[in-house]
Amino acid sequence: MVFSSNVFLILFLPIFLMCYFACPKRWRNLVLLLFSIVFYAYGAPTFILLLLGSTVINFYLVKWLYETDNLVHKKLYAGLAIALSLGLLGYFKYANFFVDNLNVVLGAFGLQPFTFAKVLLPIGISFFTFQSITYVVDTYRNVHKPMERLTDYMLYIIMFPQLIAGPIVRYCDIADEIRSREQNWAESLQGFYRFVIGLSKKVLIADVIGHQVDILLAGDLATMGTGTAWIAILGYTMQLYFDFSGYSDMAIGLGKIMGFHFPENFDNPYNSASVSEFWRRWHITLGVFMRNYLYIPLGGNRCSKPRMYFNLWVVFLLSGLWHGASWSFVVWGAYHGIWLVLERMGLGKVYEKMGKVPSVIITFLIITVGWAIFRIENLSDAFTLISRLFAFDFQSIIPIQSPHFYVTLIVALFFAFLVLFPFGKKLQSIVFYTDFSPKQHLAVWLVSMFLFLFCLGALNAAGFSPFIYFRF
Amino acid sequence: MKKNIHKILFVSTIVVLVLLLVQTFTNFVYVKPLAGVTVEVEKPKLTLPNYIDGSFQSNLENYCREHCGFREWFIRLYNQYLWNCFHESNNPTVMRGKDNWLYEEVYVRDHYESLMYKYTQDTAEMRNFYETEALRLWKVQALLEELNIHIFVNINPGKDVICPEYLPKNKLYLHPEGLRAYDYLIKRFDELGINYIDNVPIFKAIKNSVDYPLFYQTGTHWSNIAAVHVFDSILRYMENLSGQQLYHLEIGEKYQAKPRKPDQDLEELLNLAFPMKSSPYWYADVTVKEDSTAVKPFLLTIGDSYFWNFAYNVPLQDLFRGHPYWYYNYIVYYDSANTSTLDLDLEQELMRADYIMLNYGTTSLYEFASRFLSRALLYLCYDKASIDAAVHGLIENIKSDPKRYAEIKKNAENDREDLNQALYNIALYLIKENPEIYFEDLQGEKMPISRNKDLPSLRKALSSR
Repeated sequence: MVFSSNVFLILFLPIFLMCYFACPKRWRNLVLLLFSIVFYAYGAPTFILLLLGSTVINFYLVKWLYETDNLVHKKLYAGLAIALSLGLLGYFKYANFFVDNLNVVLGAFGLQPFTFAKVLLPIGISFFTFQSITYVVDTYRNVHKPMERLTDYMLYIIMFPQLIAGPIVRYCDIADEIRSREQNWAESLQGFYRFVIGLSKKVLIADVIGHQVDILLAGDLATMGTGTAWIAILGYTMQLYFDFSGYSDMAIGLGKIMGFHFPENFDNPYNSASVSEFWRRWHITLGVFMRNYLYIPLGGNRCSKPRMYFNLWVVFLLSGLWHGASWSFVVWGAYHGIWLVLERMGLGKVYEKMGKVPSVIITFLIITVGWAIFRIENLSDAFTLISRLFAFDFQSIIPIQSPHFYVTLIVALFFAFLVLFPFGKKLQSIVFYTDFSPKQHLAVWLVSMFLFLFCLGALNAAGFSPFIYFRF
Repeated sequence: MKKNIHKILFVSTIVVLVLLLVQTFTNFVYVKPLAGVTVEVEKPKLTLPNYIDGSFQSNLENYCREHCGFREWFIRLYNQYLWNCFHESNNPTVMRGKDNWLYEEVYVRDHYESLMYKYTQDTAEMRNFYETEALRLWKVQALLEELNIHIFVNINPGKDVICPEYLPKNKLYLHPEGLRAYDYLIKRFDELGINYIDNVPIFKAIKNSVDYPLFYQTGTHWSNIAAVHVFDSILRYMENLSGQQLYHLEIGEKYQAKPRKPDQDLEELLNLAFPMKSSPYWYADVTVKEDSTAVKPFLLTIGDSYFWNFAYNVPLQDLFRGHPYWYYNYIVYYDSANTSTLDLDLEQELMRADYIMLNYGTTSLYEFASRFLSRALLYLCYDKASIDAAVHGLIENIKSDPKRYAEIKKNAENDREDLNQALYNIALYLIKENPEIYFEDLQGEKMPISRNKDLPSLRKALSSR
């Protein structure tokens, strides 16, 4: 079930909100858990038992880890719990990729290919695996004590707002709110506003742009004009941002409605003045996870420079692979890793000397070109598209006549770069961080409700559209 | 109140969501339905297999999308936003031209390229099709004349032909070299001596001199006044063909009125929240002149939707003994309503007609005659015994395919139908649908030399009724 589906918006959400708020506080976690199980079971009926089973095993492994004083046992339980999570992720997400590549190698040596029934990918596995790992590691590091109740732990892993596509919520950030949280109507209302902002980003911007981008990229890339190629890739750059950040806004908003404070996942990433900064602003929770649970354990910055560069590169290679089991994601991760290493080697200083605006433009171009590798599954096609970006062939007609698309693209670019300017920063702080007066609340509520209903119109007028990020 | 504003607003949010939910499943508030063809989506039933394979989920999403509470209002609102802000239509079949003139997408495409591309990129293939249909019509015309039945073509101009100045700009339709059905067929009709009325030059000639619109700004088809004038001409043409005296029309003074069905069908298809401003709609009332010497013949029309303006504005029942309309030779109107033409006895239908009109707009000519001619030839050239022989040959063929035979047998058992009768019906249906597959003489440009000897007596019996 996706947040921008009719089933979610007009069936699941009202029933859930009625049940949740009609219940006494002590039952609310249970209601949320039950609805979360229904949410996951609805979309992935064959995997719900796997998810619940692995959650139960993890809970007990971590409970034993916490209760034992024996360091060897602690390591054993932690190792088992992490192996279970990563094992499931490895099998479901990477087995097909591994076997396909193994068969290429076997074929090169004239050997028979390895036969293997294709494995289906459980939805959201990349996200809940990482959350399980934070639970194990945070408990192991004594950052936070584990949950006493299995249902609370299950809620942490399965909670529907962030189950499918994040944000990746670290255990230590949310454990206290699962145990106890206050009902604050002002926050619930702000959660609704945030949900509507996310829905609007998805439905009114990302889907409109995405529809045309799909048409453009389905054409013959080799003969694509440079103008068309730039519009396609710029469109995709905006589509991806508004789609994914829209989803995160909806998740954060839904969390807030119930009193949870999920971490922010985006902070105007296209305003970054370097690729390093981009990764502190794009999919922030993934960056934080990679830093805390991979980069630092590998040695982080506290090692020799060559080793640090290697660590950085490996982290980004694995980040790429986390996004999807294909070589194009590996290359995309490596591409980002190379830029990060170059920035550490001195490019960052060049950016500083150039000033903010030129650095932002250069970084945006680097990121945009990278999205070509990310978007197009076949690597050679991706490189064809990149070559068309710089072919300076402006003869052919751009095959999109829709003013709606172009205006939406301009609006998307405007909002993507808004906080580069002081008035944009002011606007952002008003929308996201102001305590509204009652009159302002009434006005904002009316606007939000109008937008919500308007999005329903757009959604039903344009058809059903799944999120991009669901395949990861 | 101020103190509780947050709670009140949040609870109101839940109330709105619940209202949507209730409306979705109960329709407790009447909402004007959206215009256009929609496929009714049934409420899905939950079973373990359809839940596991995901079909329940996708069907439930489709159901919620089609029945979402107050969906019609939201969609109209969104369409209005697209229309006002971006001058875009959310309906791909409706295109906005200059000064808010609306065109059906196929008209624009036909104007800038040729709708042959809907079938094939191959001009030779299209030429063969038009040539075959023209030759079949020539043959059908000759065979029907022997039975005192008159077939003719009435070609009506498309909106793009008469009002090209408002068409949207051509930017994407890039096949100007396409073979146009109109150009080819008109030439061949002249060469073969086929009966036809071409309204295109007439409309072009009078466009700037008449004081009423030939086409409405927001409709697909011609105006009421244009249609009735054309029909009056058709009656005179029919008189010339047969020498019969037919009733004539009396066309009243023109007057302005609110748009009538289907004169703003394109605007309706946009499903906007607010009506568009458009140029006035002119109408004229039509009556039939008293004439004690006139006869009421039987007119069978096969063609496209241009017939609707005849049907809505001309009192056909006062002019004809019968006037069935076979919409694209597919569904029957004004006689055995909503029957498929393939379920009819074509032999009988042909023989009871005095006139057969093939009524097509220029845009629909790329599918000229809608397979009527080969089917008509089947009954004009082969008697029941020959067709039965082909049916039995096909039954044997079906029986030699065990899988297909078993399927028919199973269906017959389910429907409690005699197996032999089921086989006969299926074979006959297949032959009627594509007779040229089973009768070699009907293929391509070949022409059968045989005649259905049963027809003269049948014609005599039916025409005297």
